[in-house]
Amino acid sequence: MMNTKNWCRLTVSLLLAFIIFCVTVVCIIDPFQIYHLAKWYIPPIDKTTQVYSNAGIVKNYSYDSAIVGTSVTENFHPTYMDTRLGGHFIKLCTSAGTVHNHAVLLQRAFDTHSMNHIVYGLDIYSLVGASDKLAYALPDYLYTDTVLDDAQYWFNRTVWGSFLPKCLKTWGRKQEDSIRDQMYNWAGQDDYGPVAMYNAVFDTPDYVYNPDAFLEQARLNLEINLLPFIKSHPETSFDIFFPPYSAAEWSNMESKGTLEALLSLRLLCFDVLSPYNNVALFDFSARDSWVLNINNYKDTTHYGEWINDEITDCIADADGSVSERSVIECNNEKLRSWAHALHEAGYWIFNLNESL
Amino acid sequence: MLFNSYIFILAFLPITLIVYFLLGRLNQRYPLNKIFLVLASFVFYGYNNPRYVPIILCSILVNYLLSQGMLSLNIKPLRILFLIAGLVGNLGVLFLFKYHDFFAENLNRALSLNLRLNYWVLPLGISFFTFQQLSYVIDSYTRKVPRYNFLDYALFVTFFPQLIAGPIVLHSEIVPQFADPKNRHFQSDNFAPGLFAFARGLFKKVIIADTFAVAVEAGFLSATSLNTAEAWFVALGYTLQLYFDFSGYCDMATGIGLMFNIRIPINFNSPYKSLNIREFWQRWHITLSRFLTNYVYFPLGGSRKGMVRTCFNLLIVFLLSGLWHGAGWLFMLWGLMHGVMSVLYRLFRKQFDALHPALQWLITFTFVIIAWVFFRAPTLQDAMGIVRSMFMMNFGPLRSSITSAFALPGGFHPGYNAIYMMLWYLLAVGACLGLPNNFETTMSFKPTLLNAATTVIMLVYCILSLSGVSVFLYFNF
Repeated sequence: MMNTKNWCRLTVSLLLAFIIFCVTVVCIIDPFQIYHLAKWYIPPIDKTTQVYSNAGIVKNYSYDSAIVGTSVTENFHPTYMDTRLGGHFIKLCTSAGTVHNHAVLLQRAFDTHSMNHIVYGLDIYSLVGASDKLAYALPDYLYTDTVLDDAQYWFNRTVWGSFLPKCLKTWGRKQEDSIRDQMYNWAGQDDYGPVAMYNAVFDTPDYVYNPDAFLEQARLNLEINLLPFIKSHPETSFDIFFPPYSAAEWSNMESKGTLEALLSLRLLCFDVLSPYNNVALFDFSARDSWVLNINNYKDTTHYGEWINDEITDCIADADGSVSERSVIECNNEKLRSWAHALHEAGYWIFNLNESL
Repeated sequence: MLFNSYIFILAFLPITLIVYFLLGRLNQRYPLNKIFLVLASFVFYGYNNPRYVPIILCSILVNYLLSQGMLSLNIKPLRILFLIAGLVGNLGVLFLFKYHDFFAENLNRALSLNLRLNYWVLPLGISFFTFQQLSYVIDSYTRKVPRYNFLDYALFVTFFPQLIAGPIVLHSEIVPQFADPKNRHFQSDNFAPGLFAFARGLFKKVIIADTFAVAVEAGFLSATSLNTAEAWFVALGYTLQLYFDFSGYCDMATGIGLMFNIRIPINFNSPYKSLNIREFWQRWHITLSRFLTNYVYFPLGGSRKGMVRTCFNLLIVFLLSGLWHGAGWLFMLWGLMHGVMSVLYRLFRKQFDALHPALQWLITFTFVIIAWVFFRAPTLQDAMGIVRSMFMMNFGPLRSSITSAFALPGGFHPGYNAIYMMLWYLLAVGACLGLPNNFETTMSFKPTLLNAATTVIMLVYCILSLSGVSVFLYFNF
């Protein structure tokens, strides 16, 4: 039997070796690309770990422009955006994210990169809720530069049990530039059209709105989570667009009694954002060739990736930009009339173009 | 700061140990190592919420001054005044933070009053450091204590291994050890069993207790709709969770204390091996039982004033014990249940002790399990729901929210989870009943290769289990 002095030496040495081993391995094979871009393996980037992967993407990828938003922005093609809008785009998307989720990513982007252009999908549902509300618990330790925080990454059981093995399986392969288009892209995974929409279980938030409090909360959200970036970065262009939900979604709002509150929210966004010279606001909500064609949708809000490319074209051509409040009012009137018509009809699973 | 956190295991503990022993070696004349340990303990205490550091600091200052007053003065009325001030001050602070809202809420409800609620967050470990200091104040009045300098006193209260969750140590157990010059130096004979105990305690907390916690949480969320098997698994699961959690914490405290050459008293002595309720309380949270016996039960007369008075005293002690654990009617009900059981044992001790030991154990353990349901349940309705289900003989499948807590990594078929769950329960109960007590194992530690290997494996496994990636599946977009 050894003496206690040797026992202590052996045990502490083994523990130190374990610590050094873990830190070294995670720093080299860095699944979430916190320390460096993956050059010898394919990192796991998918929706299930989006808030983790985003931490490395926002920090270490090379870009000067970004597309920011919820799932309706995930099918954009940054390589196509490069050619149409100029710059070098990256996706900074959070499925079902709130404006605070987007703000966290924007803050990291501005902290680590010089940004020329932001294309921002202003999902009105992401403005509802407290200004510090996150859709998912954020792994803060990946979003700070404090080394001490990283222990949660170095000694993370899921990293060791799942993500490191995944990286090792792809050892020797290199990330292509097309990763920018592929990341979080859900195109091809679903059917579109009436049957898909009928089967869709997606249900947008069903809040009971107190219109005044709700608008005040949305204003607060804009002031805290979006305006600071616009104000402090006049050199960056912000192309902010209202995503084209299907007309059926506005009918849903009518059924839930939230339609008028959400239409007012669109006006509020215009009032808050339009005074800034570096902001261009686009409204695609009432573009009838898109939103009345049910074949563009997998559910009431999510459109096919061809619409994302068309949005890119519209932004490049300044088609759909809104400089007058009356345009939003006019579009609101259209949305209201479609919502009423569909609501009155009592159903909405039909080809909207043919029926209206 | 928690023992089961990266910051503690990887930074605070090693740095504190190294600096403490370096200061002990560098300077023999001034107690720099003790000053450092007090400061480090304040950092430990205030790490998550620094706002409460002034509270413990004031508490230490006031209690020390009152105690010194009682030790110095020979005027009895003044000493009584100081004692009353100490009792009222300590219990008053505890009341304000822990019980004020509970009493105000109940008075508002019962008498239609409109007393204001504070909604104050409970300072960490206030019940522990208050009781610890109360013992010193009371002993100062009776002059059972020597006069300590302020630094030793502050160290006795703040010594971080026992600051937040006990054990409730007595000054006579700790201060002389800090005063011993040989304890200023690193001693591998203490460090080795200390690290061994810490690893075992961490394993009990992180791997065993936290696994049962997931199943228990799921079970209590469905408290009113469990079938009989589920109700028993949930109740037994909580029984095991609580033991492994609390005793794991105490093992870690013992281990860390030993690393600093300080022997912290035993707090859990395999309580689920108990054959009767009296023995259970001699084995469970031993230092709390000791405090309540010495400072409540004996002053009330203990068992010297006849059977009726003894039973009354027992009920009072257990009601207080319930209240000490938390400000809520269910805690008091839990205390009352133990009080009644203790009274029954005292009344029918001969008959009970004549039963076969296996039957004695079964009755005691079943009672303890049922009582824990009331300790854990958020409402009386939930507690009654579980207890009713336990005896309804309504058997059915085990719900996946309970069994999935025991799933093996690697994506095995969820159908196996119920089998893993049974294994977990068997092993955990087996460990409670069959293995020697952790405290004893630590004290009889042998520096073997096997012990080194188990220590390293347990620590590595625990460190890797402290954090994971919360994979979210946003199925519907």
